[in-house]
Order: sequence, then structure tokens, then C-alpha cells
Amino acid sequence: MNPDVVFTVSEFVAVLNQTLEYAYPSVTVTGELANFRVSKNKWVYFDLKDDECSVKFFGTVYQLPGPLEDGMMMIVTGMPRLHPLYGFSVNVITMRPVGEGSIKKAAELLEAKLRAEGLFDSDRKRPLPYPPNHIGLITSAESAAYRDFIKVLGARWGGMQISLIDVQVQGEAAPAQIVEAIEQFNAMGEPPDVLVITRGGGSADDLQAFSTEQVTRAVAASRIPTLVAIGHEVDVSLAELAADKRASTPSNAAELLVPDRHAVLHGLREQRQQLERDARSVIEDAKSRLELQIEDLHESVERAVWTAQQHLESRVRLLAAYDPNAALQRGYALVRMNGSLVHSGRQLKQGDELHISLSDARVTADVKEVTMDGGYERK
Amino acid sequence: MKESDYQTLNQRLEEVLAKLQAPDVQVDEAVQLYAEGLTLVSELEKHLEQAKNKIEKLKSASKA
Repeated sequence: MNPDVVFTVSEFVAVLNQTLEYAYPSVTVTGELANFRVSKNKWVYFDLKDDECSVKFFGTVYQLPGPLEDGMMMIVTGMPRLHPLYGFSVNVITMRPVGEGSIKKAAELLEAKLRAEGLFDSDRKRPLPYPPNHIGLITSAESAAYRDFIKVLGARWGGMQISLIDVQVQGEAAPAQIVEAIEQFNAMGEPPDVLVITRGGGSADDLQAFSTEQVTRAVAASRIPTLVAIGHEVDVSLAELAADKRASTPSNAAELLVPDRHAVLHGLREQRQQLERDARSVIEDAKSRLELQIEDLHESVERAVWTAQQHLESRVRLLAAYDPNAALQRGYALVRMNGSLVHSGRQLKQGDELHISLSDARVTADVKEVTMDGGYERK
Repeated sequence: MKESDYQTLNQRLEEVLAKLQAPDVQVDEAVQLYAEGLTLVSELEKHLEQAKNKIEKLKSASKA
């Protein structure tokens, strides 16, 4: 430096800013968040500090990854500047929490905020079409998650249209790409009937994109029903909470999305067998009812004949009681004169010719005497 | 003799019996009625026998 050169204050600020811009167009700094505050819902002020130093940062709410709290470890990229009035600060380009504890804390704060807004409410959940005709898939085309999803899907069910939007599923660019993919599918003239957003497992850092506010909001805002499947074992990402349905892995997503054609075929076969059994039993029932009816029919007609026979037999017995020959066999006789029956002695006189019928003979006799004494052996 | 059905024959038998049972029936008429009654009974028995045979035939035909 030349000690003869004297700057005005404004010149000095301008020169320093030029130098900073040339030497450090951007810097990335990590440290603990302190004195965090938001002004007028727009301006964001905070410090990053370590054990010995503290640096001022300035930004807007649009750069915030979500709600933040002092004490969280942050990684911030920004442009170092000397402000003409307020002194040195780093103007934020991007910022995100770093380290498992801070990421978790940030996620908790964001989750509480979004939950309060109702983004995770169970009554917002829509049923997924089962099975869908057209799947909008958002994942990395190079990933194992993509291959697993397609493989399991194909093994279970076929004939679906799958549209892929290839995105980065981790890193700085991931959230914006995922959001854009969701919006792109929703803007289609003939959109898919389900959106699947998936990736395999990873560290908390790797999975961070799926817990960002922008991705979570985009999932919640999707007009197309969503299925989010992030492979992990412990925590659930916020995008999964906002989704209509979540799955534990990409393979699990495929399992939830479509039925297993083998199981379906097996079920159909069972149904067919059940139908056959039902039909057979209906026929068997009708048959046994008919057999009973036939028996009834036989019994009825036989009973009618039997009744007629009983009646006829009673008539035969009655008729037998009036058999005139039976009387003759017992010793009675029929007495006729001139072809007419003789009922009284007054019809007779001595010498009349009588014709007498016995049970086994006819006799002709003459009247010798008529005694009118009242009749048969009454003396 | 004209073929009569069971009911007509049966009705005639009832008439015959009623006349036979009348207190003022004359013996000659009674003998005649008795003879007619016997004829009617054998006719009716023949009808019943035929009915039974027909039932058996129909039963075995329906089982076949």
C-alpha cells in the first residue's frame, strides 16, 4: 500500500468492496447462529460465531430454509460487503442448518409451524387411485431407488404409463428441482393420476431436501395425489407428512401403489371356486327340496287311493248287511202268489198256489189252512 | 256298459245303499239293489286297482 494515497470514507468503502468482490465473490461460512431476528417480516439479521469470533449476516426471509433458532449450527453462503452506514456484513445467498442436531432442530421448528398451518392434517389426505393408470415419478434416474421402484412395480402390475422427471435428490439444487418437477406435473394438460416422489436412504444431511419448507409446501399443494417414499429408518421427512400417503422405501411405494397380479389372480380363482360352490349348493338344495316334493306327491296320491279303498270297504260291509240271501240262509223264506210277495194271511185262502223261495231252492205249495192268530210262533 | 268314472259309480253306490236302508224297501227291490251294489263294488275295486297300477308305473318312470 502506498502511504501517500488518501481515500475519502466513501472511496475507501467502494475500493474495499471492489477488492472483496474480486477476491471473494462468495464465501461459505459455518458457525453457530446467534442474535437471529426477522424485521418487518422481510429482513433477516443474525450472527455466526465460534468460540472466539462473531460475524454479522444480512438476508431476506426468502432465503430462510425454515424457522431457525439461536444455537443452531448453520452453513451460509453469501457475499461479504462493507455497508456504507451499517458496517461489515455477509449478504446471504443460501443458508441451511448443518450437523445432525441442528438439522433435527430446524426440522422440528418447521414441522411445528407447518403442522399449525394444517399441512399434515389427516382430513387433507386423499385416496390414491388403485391401481393408477399414469404415474408421475420424481426421483434421480441414476439411483437404486428408481431401479427398485420400477422393478417391483413391473413384477406386481403392468400396463401403466410412467413419466419420469429426473431430479437431484440431495444437495443445494435438490429442493428447487423437486418443487419444479411437482409443479410441472401439475401443469400438464393430462396430468398423471398419482405423483411418486422417492429416494433411497441416506444421512440426515442427504435427506434434508425432503424436509425443506418449499418441498413440503409443494407436496401439500399438489392437485395430483402424492406418495412420498424416502428410505430411512428413524425420522420421517416433512414431505412425507404432507403427502397423501407415505411409504418406507421405493419398493414399498410400488407395493402400496399397485396390487400384486398373482395375488389378484389367486383371489379371482378363489372367488370363482366360491361361486361354483355356491351354485352347486343352490342346485343341491333345490334337488333335495324337489325330492321331498316328489315324496309328498307320491304319498298324497297313495293316501287318496287308500282313503277311497277304506271308504269302499266300509260300503262293502254295509252292503253285506243287506244281502237277502243271508236271511234265507238263516231259515227265512220268500212267499209269492201270482208273482207278488205275500205280506199278510188276509191275502190267502184255502187252495191258493204259493211259490216259496229258499236259499237253495224254489218250492210250489198249496194253502191248506189260514189261521189269523197274529203271526209267527206267537201263541 | 258305459265306462263311468269313480265318482259317478261311488255316488250310485251311496244311492243304492240309502235305498236298501230305507224302512219301506220291498224285498224284490232290495234283491235288485243288492245285486246292483255288488256290480258297483266290483267296478269301483277295478278302478282302484287300475289307479294303483298307474301310480306305480308313473313312479318307476320318474325314477328312471
